[in-house]
This record gives sequence, C-alpha cells and structure tokens, in this order.
Amino acid sequence: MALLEVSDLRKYFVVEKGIVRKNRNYVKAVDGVSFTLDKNQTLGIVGESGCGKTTLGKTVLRLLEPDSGVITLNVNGRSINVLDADEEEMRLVRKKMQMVFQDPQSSLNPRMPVKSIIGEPLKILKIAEDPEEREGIVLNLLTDVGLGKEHMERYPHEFSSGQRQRIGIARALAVGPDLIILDEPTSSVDVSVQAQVLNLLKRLQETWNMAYLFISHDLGVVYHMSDRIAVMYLGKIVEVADADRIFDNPLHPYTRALLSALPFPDPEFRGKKKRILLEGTVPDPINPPPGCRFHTRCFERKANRPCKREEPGMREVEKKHLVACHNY
Amino acid sequence: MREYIVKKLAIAVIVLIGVYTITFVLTFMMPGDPARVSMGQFGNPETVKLIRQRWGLDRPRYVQYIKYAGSFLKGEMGMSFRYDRPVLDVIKYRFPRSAYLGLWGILFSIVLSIPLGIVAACKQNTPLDNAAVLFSQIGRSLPSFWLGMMLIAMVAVGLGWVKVVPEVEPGRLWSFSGFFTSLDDYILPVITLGTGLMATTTRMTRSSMLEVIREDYITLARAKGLPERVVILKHALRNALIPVVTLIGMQFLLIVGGVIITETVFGINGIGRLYVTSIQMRDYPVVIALTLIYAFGVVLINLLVDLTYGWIDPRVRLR
Amino acid sequence: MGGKLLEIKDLVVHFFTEDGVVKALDGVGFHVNSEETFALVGETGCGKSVTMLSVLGLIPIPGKVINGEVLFYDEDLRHELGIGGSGPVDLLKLSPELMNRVRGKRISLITQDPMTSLNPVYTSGNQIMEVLTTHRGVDRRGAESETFRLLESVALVPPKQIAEKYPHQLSGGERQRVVASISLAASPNLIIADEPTTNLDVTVQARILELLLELKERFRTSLIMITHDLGIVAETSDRVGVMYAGSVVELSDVFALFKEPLHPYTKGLLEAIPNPRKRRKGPLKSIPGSVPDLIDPPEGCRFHPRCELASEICREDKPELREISTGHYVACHHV
Ligand SMILES: Nc1ncnc2c1ncn2[C@@H]1O[C@H](COP(=O)(O)OP(=O)(O)OP(=O)(O)O)[C@@H](O)[C@H]1O
Ligand SMILES: Nc1ncnc2c1ncn2[C@@H]1O[C@H](COP(=O)(O)OP(=O)(O)O)[C@@H](O)[C@H]1O
Ligand code: SF4
Ligand SMILES: [Mg+2]
Ligand SMILES: [Mg+2]
Repeated sequence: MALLEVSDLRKYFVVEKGIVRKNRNYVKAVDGVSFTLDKNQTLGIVGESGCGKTTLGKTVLRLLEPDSGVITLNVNGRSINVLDADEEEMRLVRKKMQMVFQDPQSSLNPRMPVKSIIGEPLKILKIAEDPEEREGIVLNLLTDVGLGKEHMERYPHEFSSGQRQRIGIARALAVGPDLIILDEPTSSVDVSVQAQVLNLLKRLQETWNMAYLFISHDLGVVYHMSDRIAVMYLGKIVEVADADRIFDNPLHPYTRALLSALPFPDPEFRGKKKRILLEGTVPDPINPPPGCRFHTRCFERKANRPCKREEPGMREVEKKHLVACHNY
Repeated sequence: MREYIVKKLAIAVIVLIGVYTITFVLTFMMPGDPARVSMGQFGNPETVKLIRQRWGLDRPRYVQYIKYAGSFLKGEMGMSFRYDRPVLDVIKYRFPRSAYLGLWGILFSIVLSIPLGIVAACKQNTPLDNAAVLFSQIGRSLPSFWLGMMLIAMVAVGLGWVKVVPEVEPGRLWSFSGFFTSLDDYILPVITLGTGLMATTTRMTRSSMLEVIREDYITLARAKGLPERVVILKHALRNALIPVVTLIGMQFLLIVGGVIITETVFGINGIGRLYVTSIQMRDYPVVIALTLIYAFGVVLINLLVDLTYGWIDPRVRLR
Repeated sequence: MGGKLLEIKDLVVHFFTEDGVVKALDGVGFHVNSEETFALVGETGCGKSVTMLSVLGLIPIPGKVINGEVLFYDEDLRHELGIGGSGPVDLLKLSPELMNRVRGKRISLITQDPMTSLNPVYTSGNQIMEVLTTHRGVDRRGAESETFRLLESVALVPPKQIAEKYPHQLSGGERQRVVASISLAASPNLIIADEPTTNLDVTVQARILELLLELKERFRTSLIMITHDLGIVAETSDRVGVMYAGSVVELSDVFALFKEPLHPYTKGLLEAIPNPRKRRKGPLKSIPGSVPDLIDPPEGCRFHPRCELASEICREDKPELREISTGHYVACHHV
C-alpha cells in the first residue's frame, strides 16, 4: 500500500481584479493533481515558476485548505483521510508529514533561538514535554544535520543560507516523520553548498526511513534525488515516470522541451543535442487555455487531435509511465 | 481612469454628507448659546430671545439641519451670526489670503527641497549632504510661531526690509501679476510656514532618491553612457517622486494648522483666524461651512494625488 | 576570433562599509579576445558583478578601486575620444565624460534581473531610443525606425506595439530581450551579460541564451557571460575564468577546463553538480564549509580552509596565476 495517495486535488486562489467592479477570478494553482508515493521513496516534482509546486506541497499538508480532492495517508497500519481527519488523526498526520520550506530566511522565526525553533514541534505535538529531554533531542538532531551544540542558542540571522536550510531540515525531522515535503531545499544555497545539502538529505532518508516529495525547478537536482518524477505545467501533472525513464524516453512535448533546455555541463555535447525552443510564455493561470493547457506552445500538435478542445487525461502509456497528451 | 474619477467623486458626496452631519451634531453639542455669547454676559433676555428667533435657533434641530443643508446646496451657506452677512461673503473676503499663504508655503518648500534632496542624495556623505541633513533636522524641530516671531523681530522690525503685517488686498493676490509681486509682502509668513514643510520634503526626497539610485535600472541607465544629468533627472527623479507626491498631498491637508499659527503671528486676517474666532463666538454657520470646505479639500487633494500617481507611474495608469 | 580586446590586470576593489572593509576583489586578472564569448563563473558574492562594474566605472558607493588596470585594445578609441598617445586605453584613468562615451557605445551591459533592469516609468521604446540619440547622433525619426529594427532583431514583434509598452506589460523573457536590444543599440565591441538568465525559467533561458549567441555572431561583438551555472558555461563560452572569493583561480579554454580542471575548487564544483547524463546517483562530492566572509578573508590562498590539498604555504602565500599548458592558467601552489 502506498504511503500517500493523492487524487484529483484542487486548490484555487481567489483574486480580485478591476477597480470599480470587483471581478472574482480564480488562479487555478493546483487543478486536478493525482499521484501516489511509496514508503522510503522520493517523488520529484518539477516545473517552471508559478506552475503550482509550492501550492501542491502546502495543500497536501493542509497548510492550505484544498477545494476538492482526496488525500490518504497510510501510517501505523491505519488509513487516514487527511481532509476529513479528526483532531487526533490530524495530530498523527502532523507527526508523519513535515515540510521544509522554499525560503529558509522567512520560514524560521528570527526572534527564536535555534533550540526553540527545532524544539517547538516537539512541544506542540506533545512528543517531548520535558524541557531537558527536549534539549537532548534537539542536540541530536543538530548533530544529525551537521551542526553542533554551539549553535543551540544562536538566532537564524547568524547562519549562512546553507546552515539555515539545515535548521529547517532538523525542525522537520524533530517529530520523526515518514514523509517530508521538500520545497526547493537548495534554491537559496550556493552550488558548492548544494551538494552538501543533497548528500545530507540522502543520508537522512536512509537512516530515518523516510519518503520525500522533492520539489524543484532544477531537473538535474530532481533527477539526482528522485525515484520517480512528476512534471507539472500550469497546475497539472503532465507526465509521471521513473526518473531514468523521464530522461531516457520523455514522452510529453513539454517534458521534452524542458529536458532539451537544460544546460548540460559538458562542452563536448555542444551542438549535438537537439534543442526544442518553445514559443511564447506560460499562459496566465487565471485563464488557462482550454483543452490541453500546453497547446498554445506545443510543437507536436496534430491537426487531427482534439488538443484545443478536450483536456487529455492521464494514461498509462507504458508500465508505470503516465502521460497526459492526445498524441499517446 | 474616468470611471475611477467618477467613483471617487461619488465617494466624495457621501463623505461630505457624513462630515456635514457630524459637524452639525458636534457644533450644536458645544456648550454655550450663540445668541447669548454674542450679546455678552449682561444681554437682555428679551433681546436674546429675539436673536434666537432670527437665527432660527428656536426651531427643532432637524429643521435647522435641513435648512442649512439647503442653503449649502444653494451655495450661499447661510448667514453668519457674527457678521450678519452671508457666510459665503465672509469667507470670500478671507479665503484668498489663506490660500495664497498656504499655496506659496508649499511651493516654496517644493521648489527648494526637491533640488536640495536630489543634490544631497547625489553627493551622499559629503559636507553638502551633511549640511542638508542637518538643515532638515533643525527645520523640523523649529516651532513655527517662534520662527515667525524671530523673522518679524530681525527682518521686519530690525532691518525694516518688509512690513510686519502684509497689506495686499485679497483681490490682487490671485491676479496673474499680483500672485508674484505680492510675495514681497508675504515673504516672511511664507518662509515661516514653508520651512517646516521643506525640512520633511527634503528628507523624503533624499531618502527616496538614495533608494532609487541603487536600483538596477539606474545602473543600466549609467551603463548606457547617459550623462549623469539625464540619469538623475530622467531616470531616478520620476521614480523617487512617487512617495514625495504622497507627502506633499498630505502637507496640503496638514498645513491648515500651520496656516492658523502663521496668520496669528503675522496678524493676517485669513481663514485660520476666522475659524478660531468663529468657534469661540459660536458662529455655527461659519464653523460648519469651513469644516465642509476643508473636507472637500481633502477629497480633492486625494484625487489630485491619485491623478499625479497615474501621470508619474504607468503601473497605476495601465493596470 | 581576434586579438585581445579587453584586459584586466591585478584589479583590487574594496568596499568601505560600516561593518568593515569588504575586500571584494583581490587582484583579478584576465583578458577577453575580440569576437569571443568569455564566461566568468563563480558562486554568489565571489565578485563577478563587481569586476564588471569596475570595467564600466560604475562601482557603487562605498566601493573604491584600490589598484589595477582595465585596458581596452582598440586603435580607434584614442582617436575617437581625442586623447593622444598610443597603445591600449586604461579605462580606469578616463574622466567621467570620456567614460560616458565608452559606456553603451563600446561596452554595454545586460543586467541580471529583467524584472528590475528596465525603468518602470518609461516605455521600452523610449529606453532603447535614448541610447541611439546619445551615441549615434540620430534624430527622433531615425531613432524610431532604428528602434523598431533592433526590436525585430531580438525577435520582438510587432516592434511598434512592443516599443509602446511599459516594462510591467512585458514578460520576463520579453524584458530581457528589450535589455538585449538596448545593449546592441550603439553597436558595441563588447557586451557584458551579468547572469542574464538567472531569474528566468529554463525554457525561457534557453531561448535568451540562443539569442545572445546569435546576436554576438551577427553583430561581431565579444560577449562576457557571467554566470554561476557551469551548464551555461559549457554551452556558450569559448574561454572561461573561474572566480573564487575575489580572485580568478583558473583561466582556460572551455574544453580544457571541463576535460581537465586543475584548481581544486574547479574540480570540486564540477563534481558537486548532479549530472543526469552520467547516471550517477551516489553521494555527490561536496566542498566542505562555505564561502568566506570578505571582511576578514583567509590569509594566503582564500580557498585554503575548504581545500583538501592545503598546506603551510597555502596558508601564507597567495598563489599567482601560472600558465600550466598553453592558455591554461591556474592559481594554486599544488598544481
Ligand atoms: N496566496 C495566493 N493568492 C493568489 N494566488 C496565489 C497565491 N499563492 C500562489 N498563487 C498563485 O498560484 C500559482 C502557483 O504558485 P506556486 O507558489 O505554487 O508556484 P511554484 O510552482 O511553487 O513557483 P516557484 O517555482 O516560483 O516557487 C501562481 O500563479 C501564483 O501566483
Ligand atoms: N555596494 C556594496 N557594498 C558593500 N559590499 C559590496 C557591495 N557590492 C558588492 N559588495 C561585496 O563584494 C563582493 C562581490 O560581490 P558581487 O560582485 O556582487 O558578487 P557576484 O559574484 O555574486 O556578482 C561581495 O562580498 C559583496 O558583499
Ligand atoms: S593554493 Fe593551496 S589551498 Fe589554494 S587551492 Fe591550491 S592547494 Fe588548495
Ligand atoms: Mg514555489
Ligand atoms: Mg552578481
């Protein structure tokens, strides 16, 4: 049984436009997303800015209330319907699912010392109510993420961005989760530090037996971290497959464009790669194009397919390789 | 943009009705009977009663409320108790002076402080900048009645360069040439009023410029090889003015207090003094009229500020 | 590809801040040939932007050039600026007025963030046209038609409509194209692109990079591509300078650099990026520690606290760039 099952999840934001008559519009940030995630596995989510990755992560955790959909978390031999959970179940959900946020700068309370930042979830979720016990756990966590006792009393601004990200990770680990949602955990750190953070995450995953939902816009990083990869475009997943399959045999035109756009760190490959240059820009998520959302930029649209009218559903084209495109 | 203005004006009407009601209620809740106040302590009760009748004070409040409202709509704003003349006349005689003083106070401040703020920002941390900062610190902390007195004592009385009390006729002030030549008479009140304004505007212009100068588009403008003058006056200033416009708009409203003080110090018979005495003398029609004019000014200036924004910043204009 | 166009020698720049002196550049040196693409690569804060701002004479307050030369090799420049003598011109010695005739005209800039690099209160056409009227002495009419031509050359069509738009009405990619057309307006010899695609999505990035390379060929200019992304270096450049904490630590032909990186930092960086094509999923090689604080940088080689090879001499002596094989320079005591 999968650890997490998400089906047809939707999250719309209401935005108001116009000065006199307020028009109600909806940003369809997450619009019918389904996936499953197994124990100890990593599912990578890639997509360009604004496609709904962060919103998806927060909605799965119910930090944002979804508009519709089903989220099932299977832990401790129970199957919890997250969107319909009672208080006791919700506490279990909070213990089992954690999130590391995109911007460590703003997600760590600047007025709290590291000790309290990491200890807070332990206190709130009543895991360690005795302050001394809590301090012991926090120290262990800090050591686990490569920081030390000397950092306990310091405040977030005294750390580099890489260290701050480690603190965010330690805070997520504190409650002993089965799943961590990592939202662009390395987008704010330098290249030379990124490898440290990625290695740390891999090591922790093994020792703590956790699953990751790994969100990033960097295909290289996602490939490195993930067992499976889901590609998002304008609030929808357009393709899911094993990481190697995505790279060896991408099917969706958008995935192919994304891969071909990835600058490849070896000059010997220069000019040998076929580049697919997409026309135009990502459409406004308030008025996504009808039919297939990618059709306005698609270079493989065939006249005899209903791309402009019908929204393509997810189909399993090969074993465990799902695509939403009328060409398959 | 048009619908925007229409909307603002509609709101203005509602605001004005609200302000009228509140002023009406508050004014009539003030202790003291205007008839009695005007007759003095020993007034004959019979006469007081007659006067009350004449001013309509014996009618029910709601009748008075409607009657005043009607006279405002007709534009004559009722009769002043104290002057026994239409309020409009009373105000018409004084308003030009106050408006003249207020407008010049702000013009004086703008004309000096914006260039000063720009220069200070461009020469950050040089003696010139330090002087500008110091000036604006001092300017903000000088009480204007003190400044006015000192100017009278030193420039008008001591040096005898200008008259203590401006004597230009209100009518002349707003004629095309009079607007500038009358400044001779008004220079000290204008400086008194303008110095405090100038200090804040200088400060705001400087800090806003400093912020804008750090923007990428300024680096790019310089990298284009544009002369420094163009970089500052074309690229930086217009962006830096956005918060300054808000400040100046607010000054138009806050200036009322300053005008009252300045008129008192220089013995100018303007709206400020009229306001104060009207309240003292319980001249309700005048008080209500002035309050409404002020409220209308607020609405108008907010509209002007918004229009100026739209003019400066296309992001407001073309949303 | 021709001879030298720009040469930076021993450039030292300090920022005198309230917290102390930031020793941002510590003897930067490299040269750029005419009609080549030179990549300057390094992590945030290593001094890439400061180097380029020094070339343009635009170091912001409280920064100061303490030492160094920025030589521009162009026979016509002396004549054009009306200065006598011969040989390359040291841009750092030019008066502000003369420098204004170099900026935009001979060397132009594409800044990092397209969202902030255009002035929000003027139309894109206005911001292109002012370069034309400043440097090419054309009248309004001429400037207008030239502006449309420039917009077309960066594939912004229809040009008239784009020229009338304000920056907030354009997407990030479109804005960066407008900036690119500004940089081309006065037909410069050198375009400096400071992380031109860092804040853009990959699919947009691909198109902007393609465009810049194509324009560089078409207009026969040199291009300095500043980036922190080794992928972009590999795909775009002819020669590369690797910067670390205010110095160039390795300088080489792009193929040699990727095939045989010499400096421990370059090696570390190359190993640290996940490489999907190599199908390795094991632990990445990482560089321990983090970038040093430049107010109080390490003595000797600034990389020594993070270097595996560091020894006594590394802690004391700053290594100079040495030529190891033809055109391949490295600043390390242990190569
Ligand atoms: N609170 C909100 N109110 C309105 N719209 C929102 C809100 N939060 C996000 N959005 C919109 O929803 C869409 C998805 O946003 P989201 O932050 O999930 O994107 P993302 O994929 O994480 O992007 P990035 O890579 O930039 O982090 C965007 O169009 C965004 O503007
Ligand atoms: N205006 C400034 N004031 C103080 N320090 C600065 C300023 N600009 C840059 N620096 C410092 O100079 C160093 C190099 O910065 P920069 O060239 O912008 O790096 P990057 O390689 O990311 O472009 C950094 O340590 C930075 O802190
Ligand atoms: S000089 Fe020394 S410390 Fe610096 S890179 Fe070389 S070996 Fe490492
Ligand atoms: Mg996000
Ligand atoms: Mg930079």
